[in-house]
Amino acid sequence: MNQLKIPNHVIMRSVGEDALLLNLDSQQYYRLENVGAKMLQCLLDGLTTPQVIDQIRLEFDAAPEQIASDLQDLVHKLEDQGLIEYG
Amino acid sequence: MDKGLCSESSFNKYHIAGQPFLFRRVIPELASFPCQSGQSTLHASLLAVQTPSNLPEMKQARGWLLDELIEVSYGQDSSGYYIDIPGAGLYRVSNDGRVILQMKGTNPQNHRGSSEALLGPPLILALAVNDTWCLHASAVTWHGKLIAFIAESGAGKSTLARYLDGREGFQRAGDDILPVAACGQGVCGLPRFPQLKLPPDQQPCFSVPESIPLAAVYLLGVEPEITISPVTPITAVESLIRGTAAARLFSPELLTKQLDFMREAACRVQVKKLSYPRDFSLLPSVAEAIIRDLQ
Repeated sequence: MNQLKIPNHVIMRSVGEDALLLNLDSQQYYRLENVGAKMLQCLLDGLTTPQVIDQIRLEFDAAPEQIASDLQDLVHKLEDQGLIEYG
Repeated sequence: MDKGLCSESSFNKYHIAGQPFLFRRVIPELASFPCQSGQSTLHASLLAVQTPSNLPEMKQARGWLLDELIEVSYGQDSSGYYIDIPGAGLYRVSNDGRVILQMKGTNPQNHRGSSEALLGPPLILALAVNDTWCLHASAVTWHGKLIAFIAESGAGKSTLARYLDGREGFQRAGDDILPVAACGQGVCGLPRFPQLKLPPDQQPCFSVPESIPLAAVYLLGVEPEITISPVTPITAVESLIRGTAAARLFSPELLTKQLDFMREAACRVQVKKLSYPRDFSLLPSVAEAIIRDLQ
């Protein structure tokens, strides 16, 4: 699969442990809190799904299956909103 | 000629939010915003020109102008930002924010409405292009510090600033719009901005410095008890962004600059939530809570 990235019409800024995404076309802001921000950053850094799960488990007490499910949900939501793309 | 008004060629010069502005005609609402000697930089001008034959694609946005919710059209092309305010005129703000042109004639009998429109979105946009962001906030000074209150229209920010004025060392510095900009390692308020809901002779900003360090921003809310509580950094950034006037008119480049500025501002200025019942008799206790918090 191609590398996941932030499209040109979106900017991402970390704020503390969270992150803000801004769709410049729609002027909509999206908040990613803590785990979500960490997951997205891992994906943007090129980590595979198992690697992301391992990274999250280092910091958060959660079952791998739960992390995998949450990660899948997050990616779907970000895709639906046009906040990530593959390229 | 208005008191304090300078003449530069055929322009009338005023000083707003720390910057000189030149206008083709007298702006009555700026009668008490005199220019300062020695400054002659043309920052913006208001000229009557013909409407261009080709306007960029215009979008719609709703926003407050004084107490009226209006729908403005806006767009951008290589010549600048266009803002069409119904009943007031079409304005173009140059891409460098240095010139504001009134492109479409307004009723000459309706100068007041025209001025109010000019001093709203076009001026706020011109300032934003020059890295000065207008918060939809009232403001007070307190022992050399500037305190801002952000809230939706009608949520009590003007009432609170008006109540605090003259009490316990507080002095009102702004009613509805507070320009802010980076200064040194911090953020400064530039309260000398026309507060259009107040008459020219009641502008609150003249007895306060032109630039004051912004020490705290309170996000006003309604709760049964008086409370002041910290907010997370991301809530602070989001609140400052939401509290920025005319942001719907910003280009992608300007939105990016705004986000970066507010992210930095949230690190340098205390942003807290101030909640209290909407009961005027409790404002003395609200004032005490603010003082305790600032100390």
